[in-house]
Amino acid sequence: MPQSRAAGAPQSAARERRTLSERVLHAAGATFARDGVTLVPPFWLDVCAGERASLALRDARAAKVAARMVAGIVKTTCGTLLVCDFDPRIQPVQAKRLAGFVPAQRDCAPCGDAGAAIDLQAALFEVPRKPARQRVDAVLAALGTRDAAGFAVALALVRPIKLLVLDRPSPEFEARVAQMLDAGTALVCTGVGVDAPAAILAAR
Amino acid sequence: MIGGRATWTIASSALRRAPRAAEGIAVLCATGGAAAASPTAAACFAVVGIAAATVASIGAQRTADVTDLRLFAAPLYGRELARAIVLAPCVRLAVAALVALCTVAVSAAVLHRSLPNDAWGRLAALLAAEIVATLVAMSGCARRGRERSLYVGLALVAGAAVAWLGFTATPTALLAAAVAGGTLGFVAVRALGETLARYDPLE
Repeated sequence: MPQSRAAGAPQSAARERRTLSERVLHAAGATFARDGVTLVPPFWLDVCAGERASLALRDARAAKVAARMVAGIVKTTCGTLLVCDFDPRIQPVQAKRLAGFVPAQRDCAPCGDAGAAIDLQAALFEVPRKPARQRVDAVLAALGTRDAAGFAVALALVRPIKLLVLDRPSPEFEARVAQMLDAGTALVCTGVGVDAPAAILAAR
Repeated sequence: MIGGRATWTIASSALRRAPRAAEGIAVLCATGGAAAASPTAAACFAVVGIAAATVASIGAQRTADVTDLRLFAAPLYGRELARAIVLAPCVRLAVAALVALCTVAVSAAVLHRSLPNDAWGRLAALLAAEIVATLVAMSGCARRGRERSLYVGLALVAGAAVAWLGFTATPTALLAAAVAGGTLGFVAVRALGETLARYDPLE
């Protein structure tokens, strides 16, 4: 069973008093299976606005699929997964508007034509082109990097989001992204095993 | 609802890529089939052209376009994504074939020769057939194995049916080809939309 923990969250009773509107991610027994093989075993996770959580899975493929599930890109086979109370199976558009996804650093495509990539992202999320470019520049400056992974984060943050999902980030990268995020944005990272970077928790 | 800007951006980014060899063959075959003097030659061009259009639609580049993770992370419904994705190959095929036949017509005029009377009608029929084959085959990009082969077979049959209907290039034949092509194309784009809505990008 995957290990999941939320850091910086108040404990049980106080946490339960929180209203649903503060809850950014709710996963209860969320599972992904294909052709009868369970790729992502059931996991439970509740993340509120501004919190940072991690999800450690048994292998890289499971971590990759779980990250995409949390971002609403891959649909759960069974169980419940809600992004800001939107079910990606029923309301994929609403869920994807609020969640940003950053692939694993080794999967991030090289920047190439950065301008075209920003324009495509801006068009897909209905953001004017100029503010989108300014936002990307600002995020890259805050991250202090211009590599492919940093660019992927900048593209994910081209519009306001409530949840940012990082697939198997390195500890340094995760820390830099966490520092740069605004207080209302939750961060969920996936990792492999208990010693994975994503399982190293720190309150924001 | 997807805006025109998103559709155009997706289509234009696909249009900017260099055409594949199979796309070039499809265009040449549409032009050759329209300009061919004998029906047998035109039929051969039609068969090769439909096969080339199908191969181009199921190739690695098109598969990468259809399964691009950025598109699945964007707030788009499957049908919206399908409409945006099919635009580029259809526009590229139609424009290239029209330009090619115009070039042939001008060259023929310069050489004091003439194209067959039904050249433009036959071009329309062959283009419709290749576009239908392209649209049907694209659903196979999100599938693997036997299902993918099934879509390839379906694309070949659908394209051949439209080409056969419009082959004589009479007004009735062209109308029949237009109706059949329009219906099959519409159904194919809807099917692609359903496929993309259900698709889970795992790779």
